Amino acid sequence: MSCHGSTESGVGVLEGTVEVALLGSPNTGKSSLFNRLTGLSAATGNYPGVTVTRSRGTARTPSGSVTVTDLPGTYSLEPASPDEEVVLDHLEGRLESDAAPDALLVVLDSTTLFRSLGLCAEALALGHPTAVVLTMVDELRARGGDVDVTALSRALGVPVVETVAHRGRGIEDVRELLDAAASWPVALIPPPCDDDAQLRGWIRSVLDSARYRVPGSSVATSRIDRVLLHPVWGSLVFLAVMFGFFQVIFTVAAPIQDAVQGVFDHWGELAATNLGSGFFADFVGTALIGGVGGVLVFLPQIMLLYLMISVLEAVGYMSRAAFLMDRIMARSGLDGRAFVAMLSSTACAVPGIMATRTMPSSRDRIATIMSAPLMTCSARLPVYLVLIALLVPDDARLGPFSMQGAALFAMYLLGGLASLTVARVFKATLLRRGALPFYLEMPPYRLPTLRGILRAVWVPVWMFVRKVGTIILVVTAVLWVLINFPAREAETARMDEAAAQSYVMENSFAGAAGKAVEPVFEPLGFDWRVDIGLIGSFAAREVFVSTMGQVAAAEDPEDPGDALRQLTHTHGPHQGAQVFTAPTIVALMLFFAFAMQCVSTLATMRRETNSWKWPALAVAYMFVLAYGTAWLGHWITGLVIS
Amino acid sequence: MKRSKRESSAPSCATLCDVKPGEDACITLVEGALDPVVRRRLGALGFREGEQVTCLRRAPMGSPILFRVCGAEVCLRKEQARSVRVAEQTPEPVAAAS
Amino acid sequence: MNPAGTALHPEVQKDRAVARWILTGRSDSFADASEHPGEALARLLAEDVLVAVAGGVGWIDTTLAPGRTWQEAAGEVRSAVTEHVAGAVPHELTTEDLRRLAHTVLKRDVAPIAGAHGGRIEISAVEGHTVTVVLEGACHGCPAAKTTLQDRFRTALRQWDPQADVVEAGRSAATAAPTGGRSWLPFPGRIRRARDA
Repeated sequence: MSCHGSTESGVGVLEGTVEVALLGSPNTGKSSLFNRLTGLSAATGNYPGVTVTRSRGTARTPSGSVTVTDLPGTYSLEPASPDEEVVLDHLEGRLESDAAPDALLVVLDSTTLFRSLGLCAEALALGHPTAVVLTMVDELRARGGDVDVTALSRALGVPVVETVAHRGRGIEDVRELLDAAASWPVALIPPPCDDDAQLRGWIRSVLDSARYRVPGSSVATSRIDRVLLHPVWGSLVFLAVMFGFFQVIFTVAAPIQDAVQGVFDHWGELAATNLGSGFFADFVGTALIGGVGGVLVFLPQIMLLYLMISVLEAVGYMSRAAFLMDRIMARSGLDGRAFVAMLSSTACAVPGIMATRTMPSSRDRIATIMSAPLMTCSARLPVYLVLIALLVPDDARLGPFSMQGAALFAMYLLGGLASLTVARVFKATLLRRGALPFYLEMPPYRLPTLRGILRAVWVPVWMFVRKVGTIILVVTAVLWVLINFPAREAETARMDEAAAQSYVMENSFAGAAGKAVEPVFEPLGFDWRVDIGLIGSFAAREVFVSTMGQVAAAEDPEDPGDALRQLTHTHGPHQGAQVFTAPTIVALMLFFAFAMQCVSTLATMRRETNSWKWPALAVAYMFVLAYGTAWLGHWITGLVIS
Repeated sequence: MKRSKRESSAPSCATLCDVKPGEDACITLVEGALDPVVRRRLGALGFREGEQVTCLRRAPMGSPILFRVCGAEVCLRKEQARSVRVAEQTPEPVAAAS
Repeated sequence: MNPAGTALHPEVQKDRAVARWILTGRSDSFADASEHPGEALARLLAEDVLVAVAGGVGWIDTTLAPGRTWQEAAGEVRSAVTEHVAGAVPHELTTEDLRRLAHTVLKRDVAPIAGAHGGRIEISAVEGHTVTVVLEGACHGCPAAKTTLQDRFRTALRQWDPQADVVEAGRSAATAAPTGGRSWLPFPGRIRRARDA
């Protein structure tokens, strides 16, 4: 896949081939065209210093091959932000990392030519060999519009090819066109981009020569939007879609996840029986199988998330959702599109952060990325469930509702409010400058292609497994080592298994670390065993539950839940007192609500913001927030119960 | 919606914000006073002087507003819509209509 | 026609020094551009930026002087042509104007279609607003070809002269009705490769 050395920051050009850059507005089918031309050879990389990416791949042409670079979608080449400046720098050859392309292929949506010819004019004015691809031509004609491609080509002075990109029609013509890329004409008379009135005249004149007929609005879209954008019906549909979103995650994904978990548990047992006991067996069983299992158990959920998001996006519903939600999101300084990212983060922040790619403003994107992890994600659920069970009796009721359920709901609410507030703070302070005016394009509803959906799911999922999976695997292995070493075989030789495990843990590296860190968390009521759990959970939150499980089993293998309740401080000022008192539990829950405890999220943040600055800032501010609120919660709860 | 009598002397006070769903309007001026970036971006989306705009609908809470311009459907928030001045639709010899 | 609403775009011809400015919104003839150029155009000619100016129905040709490039001169020439067009009073097309227009349109838009199907179409006479054509080769005798080619020609001409009409030699328009048969229109979905005119 990376025959020409793709790296995080630079995607290289195949030696000796002509490089053609694809330029066009968002929503024109440019990406579909790129994918069809380059197939699986494409690799994506960031431009240096900014968050936008470009993809590069090789396209086969009748007489050889051509490198195709897909530039970020843009409505105009006049830059409005550093992100867009980079694209212009690239095209004009001012970047060190990317040379100017040899030729420019401008992709225009034939249904909005009055607008997109403006971009075409700017492209022609650059002076590169240029050609034009018209997309959505089927839609143009279906909606009563028309265009004479030959006449358009004559008026523009460059070759023009018509396609229906997402269905693959016209692709062979584009390949033939690419064959001659080096000899595409350069516009001798650049269009008058400097003067607005003259440019409008140019556009009108060109389209008149091409006998362009503006298409009517899409009847189907108008009809559907009458419902979906209706203040009452639209909102109801929206709530239903969001509810369905959740249901699918928790209902459909859960059984699949259990199945996957079952498979890994089974393999764990196989390992235990066949590899005997001893360190290797334990390593394979706990670290390897457990680690890999931990990652893959996530997969069904993540795949479903990506699937639903990409279907909604491809159909065009996401814009409608953003339209309905924008007013609310605007209160936080975000825009309606951030809603999708936030919603996805309630399952897992990784797809949520990646969903911010659709946001044109880099500032909005970063604000969303920094605040999305505060949404209650599914990894926090097991922790909350254990802690709520310790805090609230099973049968307590709040009116007709279960108190435990209400507590869980409160945590979700807390996550949501915190997220919106933090986003607002970020927008108001660090990210204040460089505001782009809000706009949102509503594409007509389109039937997605299976190919497009599969691609939209496969690419990020594979990336998740490769990059994030590696990290979790490594961390799990390291944790295993920390908890199980030094081995202390001599001392534990005569103890029974539970006591032996307990002894080993207490005297392991992790134990030492836990005790070392204990003073820090003492005001919150955590003891060193909880601290070990916390250390482990900084890699992934669910690890806390399994670590506490190990601790509890060590105390009382028969009933871990009860064992946790019975846990007492082993030393220090509270020696003998219960560890899991109400204030401590509240503190722990608040800590988990706000702390950054997910290496996967950090890795994704790093990738999407193209720097370590933001993930580092996230860890810092979230730790402060977590510690502060946990302390506050501990103190207030202490006051309330006394 | 106010009707502007002459093209230049008395500036029309109506903005895109005042165009009701289902009504057409013709853009007379995109205010560049605050930020040239905003004006250019609006222009790139199709909100240019002389273009015909149709208001399609408003969001439940009044913002954003969905418009049809240059063959595409684009939403703007109230603040941006307010910075685009319009006049009632005048019949312009638009070349494309056949 | 509203002169202020004139829009134009340039099409560089085979001779790279010649730019044809296609004028939208004006369907009258500018054949007199060479004799009576507007003030700015005259100045460009005098300053040796342009070496020639010519005109036709809906277009004006400007030829660059040797040694000049379009990169530097385009802006000025564009403004000069706009000014000339704004100042020119619209007048009716003469027969000569229509003849030249018909030849240009035929060669560019209609003849290639005929040729692609093995036929030929030629102009035999131009009178008033009527153009008489002769169909040969595979087109001769094919009822569908006649209507299609004639229609296309007529539509193209009417962009400039709304009263233009196209008839076949030897018959009047009324008797040239098609007698059924398949539609011969090239399918809209067919990919057209673009070639410079």
